Amino acid sequence: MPNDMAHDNPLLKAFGAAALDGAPEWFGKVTEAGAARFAELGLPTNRTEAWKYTSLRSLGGVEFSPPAKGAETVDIPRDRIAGIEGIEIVLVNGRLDESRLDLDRLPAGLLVTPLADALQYKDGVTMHALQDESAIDGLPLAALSTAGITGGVLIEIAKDADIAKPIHIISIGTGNTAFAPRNVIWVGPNAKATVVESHVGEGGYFSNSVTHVTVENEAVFHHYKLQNESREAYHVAMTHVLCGEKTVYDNFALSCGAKLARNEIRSKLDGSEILYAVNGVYMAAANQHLDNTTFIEHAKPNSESREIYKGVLDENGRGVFQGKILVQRPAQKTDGYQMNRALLLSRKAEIDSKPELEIYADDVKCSHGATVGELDAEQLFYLKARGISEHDARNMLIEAYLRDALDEIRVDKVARAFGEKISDWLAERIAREDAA
Amino acid sequence: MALLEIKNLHASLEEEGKEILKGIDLTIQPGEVHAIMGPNGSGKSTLSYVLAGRDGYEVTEGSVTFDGKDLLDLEADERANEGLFLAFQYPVEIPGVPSMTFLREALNSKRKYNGQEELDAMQFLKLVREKAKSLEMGDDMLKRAVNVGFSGGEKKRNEILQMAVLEPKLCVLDETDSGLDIDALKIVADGVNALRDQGRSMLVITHYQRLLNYIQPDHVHVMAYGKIQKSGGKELALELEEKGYADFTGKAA
Amino acid sequence: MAATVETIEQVEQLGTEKYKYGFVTDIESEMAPKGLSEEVIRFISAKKEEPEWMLEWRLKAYEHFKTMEEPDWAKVEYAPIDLSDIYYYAAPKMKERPKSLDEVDPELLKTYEKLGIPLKEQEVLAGVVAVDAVFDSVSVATTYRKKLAEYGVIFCSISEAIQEHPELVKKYLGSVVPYSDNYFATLNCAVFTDGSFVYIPKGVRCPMELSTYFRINAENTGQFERTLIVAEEGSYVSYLEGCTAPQRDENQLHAAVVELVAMKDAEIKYSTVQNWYPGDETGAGGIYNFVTKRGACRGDNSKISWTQVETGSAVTWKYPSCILQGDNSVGEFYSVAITNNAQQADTGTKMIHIGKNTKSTIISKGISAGKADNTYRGLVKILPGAENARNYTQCDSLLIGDQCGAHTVPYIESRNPTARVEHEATTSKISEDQLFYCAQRGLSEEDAVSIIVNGFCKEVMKELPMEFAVEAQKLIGISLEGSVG
Repeated sequence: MPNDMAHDNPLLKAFGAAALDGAPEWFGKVTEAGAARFAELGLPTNRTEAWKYTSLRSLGGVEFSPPAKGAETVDIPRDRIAGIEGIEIVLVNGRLDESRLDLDRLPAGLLVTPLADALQYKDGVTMHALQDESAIDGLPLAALSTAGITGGVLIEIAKDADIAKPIHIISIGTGNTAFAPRNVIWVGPNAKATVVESHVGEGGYFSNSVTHVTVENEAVFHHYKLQNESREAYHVAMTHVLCGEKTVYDNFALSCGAKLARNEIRSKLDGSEILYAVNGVYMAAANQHLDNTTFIEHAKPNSESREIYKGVLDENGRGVFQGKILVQRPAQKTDGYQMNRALLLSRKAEIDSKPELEIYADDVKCSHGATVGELDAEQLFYLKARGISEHDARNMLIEAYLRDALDEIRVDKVARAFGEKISDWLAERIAREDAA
Repeated sequence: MALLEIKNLHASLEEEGKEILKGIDLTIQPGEVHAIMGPNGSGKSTLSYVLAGRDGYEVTEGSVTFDGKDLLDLEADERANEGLFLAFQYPVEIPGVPSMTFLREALNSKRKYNGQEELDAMQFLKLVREKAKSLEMGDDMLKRAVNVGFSGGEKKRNEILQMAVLEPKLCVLDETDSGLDIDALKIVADGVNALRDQGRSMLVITHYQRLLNYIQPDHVHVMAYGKIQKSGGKELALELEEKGYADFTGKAA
Repeated sequence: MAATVETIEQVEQLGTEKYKYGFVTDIESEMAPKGLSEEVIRFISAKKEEPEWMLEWRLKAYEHFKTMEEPDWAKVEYAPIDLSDIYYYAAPKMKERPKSLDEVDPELLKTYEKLGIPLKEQEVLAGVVAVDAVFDSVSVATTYRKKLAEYGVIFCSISEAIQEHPELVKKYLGSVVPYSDNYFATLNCAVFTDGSFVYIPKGVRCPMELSTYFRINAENTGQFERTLIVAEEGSYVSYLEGCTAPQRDENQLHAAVVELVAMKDAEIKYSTVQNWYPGDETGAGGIYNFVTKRGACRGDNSKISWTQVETGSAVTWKYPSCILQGDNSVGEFYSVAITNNAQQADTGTKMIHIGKNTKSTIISKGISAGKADNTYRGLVKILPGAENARNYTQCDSLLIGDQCGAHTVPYIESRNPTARVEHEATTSKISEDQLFYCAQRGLSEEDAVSIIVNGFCKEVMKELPMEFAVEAQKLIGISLEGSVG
């Protein structure tokens, strides 16, 4: 919805005030274009098809402040982030904490550059990504984020490099800040790497990030995300993925934090023989709204995409899944599969699911499915017949149902770390039940 | 007049341009049973597809005359209606289409092609029941969708029943024995033998000799590298069973 | 299965004939002034000698319509419709409505004969199907009324029902699709001209299939039909609808509203074979078929079943839906939608589960050929009170050729933890292997496509009443002519 008032929008002001110092002229144009696009699109409500189930109308009334000018250093909440040993990159309120970044100890083949520095490279990956208008076209929140980029990093994996240690991006939010991190990831030809994102914080802040991922030919990239924000926070994340020939891209998002979260991944499979996967688990409890939205475009023949999301919705938690597979005319022999499964654990919970296929090539194998329901009555009975209480049996089955999804994660230590978060969530749920 | 006369037939895969058949000569007289044996990749199945008119093959040289007509000039359905029947190695599934409907449709296409009156549902049912009975097969398969959920043996039996109903002049059996246990093999062979009469010719394509224990050929040809390397009587099959295809391929098959 | 074979036979007989219903009946028509206005609405109402309350309802809808915008969310593209360039009323000239079939203009009878619709009671489908024939804006004949009346079944045109059964019409009209529902439905409320009315009294099983045959004939004319079917407690009715139109270069608008009401233990089976003129290969001409169809399962254990075979129209926008209010009520939607050449279809259903133990089944088969686009769009909504609700949805798409598109857009919303919803969708093509197998058994390519597509649609086709199945199977073959090779 066009909104003339958008330029006066307090959100735009909060984001716009955070501009990076010392940025080159072209960058100014990028942020201006973002502001203009947001002004034109406005804050999405459920009348916008892409936001049908996640209206941001309420955000308009929340007051946010821009992050501090310089970098902040805060304690990392170790129990909330993914428990993995990795190369840590810490962002506080969307600003890179350079004091925690030891650039000299990075393994060979891995280059990490603070965004502010990366902006100085003409015609580099960063400039290319930021100037890409399709990254904000029709995407109001990505446009808003672009209007006020607060910081981030450029991660480059050199050709043929194999970075065994996961790169761990930790984003910490505080207070009522509004911030817009921007990370650019470039995985060179035939390189291998793993990036894990942990999003945590304290307060009613608003994290509105955009990440650009380019996976060059024959590269393998594992991309995992833990969204464990403060339960008062807003989290909107856009990830743009571009995959080249014979690449492997594997994404998994575990969402359990935030008051309102939208994890959106838009991918273009611009090559043949790509193995692409985007999976996730979402767990919502009281007053939480968790949205997973994906868009997969098959542009070339002979690639495969897999998508499996599983969710549990407790109390008055609400889950949203929107997944779209677009198969372009040249993309013959595409093999696409998409599935969303959701369990409602409470009478007040809600799930809205919209799996979508748009197909223009005739020789394809595409299917999708969605199920909504409760636990399998027979399994429940079986456990009870073995003497397990209803309460315990249910929780056992919920845990099994969720943990099953972790099989989709190809890096074992990440699967284990995410498994712990599932256990934490279930323990909290059991404690709630016991208290009631 | 020969029923089938293949002269110097060369054929390639349309897409790759790779030549598979490199000059086949073969003449089948009415009532004769010929067997073509050969190792995998020799071009046996390609020969059956080229004869039946499958898309994707290009005939680059040679001629095929079937019952006095230029076979290569006809579309696949016209070849079928002229009386050329291919029993498939892997009969395809057609969900939702009852076998009975399919077969009646096929028979009536042929009858119409030949200027005969089409059969109505009752006449057809009677005919199919008779044929099934003569082959000692039940007609239960006919109620199910074409080949859907059929076992390997059922699929092959269904092919034989179709053959019986359509009464072709030439039956090309493409590896009909593949995937069959000994009992199923016998049922299929009995069916073929029951259909073998004067005027109906057969071209049996097989990798193994065992089918030829049940279907006695008049002539046996060995095919390798896209050519018929040797022809002889049924004793040639036994010879191959013993020695394998090594003489023709330079290695044990 | 015999029917499939007959289908093929009939397809063959038709040869390359493309749309055999494309002729025009030369008959003098009476038209309302062109365009949409209060005057035109008053004209229609006056023509129909409607009571004041009906006119008021129409005007109320018109007022509301003026505030509405044409929807643009469907995946269809068409040139804007100029509502001022349409005749909203066109009727064959006759002194008054014929009292018996003998009085019907022979030219009209001939038209229906040509369409294969029996208006003489002694013909082929005699005793099996009763027909209401709607020609442009009016119903010209309804057969078997007397026989049906013996059972207490009312089957007449909606215009007659407004006059003869005002209490029933007043009670139910707009009770399922309110006048403010959506752009095209609201337009229909304002200008609807005719359609059928069916009332099945308590405990009655309607002794024959009821059928309405819609025909657009006049140029520049929109058809705005309105159908209302009420099945009282414990009753049953099976209703069929068919539609054709002449072949014209211009687009014609058909914006119908169908409302079904099923009370306790009642069942309504509603079948459609939609064969409006689809336009030519280039996309010129054809009907815009923008239809609102909705049924309310008001009573416990009631059931509404929609079956549709959509082969015609240039653009189709249609979502026959069920509101499952009564406990244990059942909604079904079986659909075959075929688009060829430049046709576009955006069709599906809505199943709204309100009552306990409500069940719905959706089976959709979409076939795209030529340059056509075919979209399934469906909503399954489980409200908090719908304990143990169940839905099963299966959407299969078949693409023929590489210039067409097949799309699936399901919306699934659940707010009850005991409900189960399952959705599956697949996309495939007719394989070369299948075509070769058929050819090797002597079938021409067109016959092969027809038989394979009929097989693909079987789960839906078997839901059609026998009398319509043959016609529908035949249509599938015809609709796909020229799609291969």
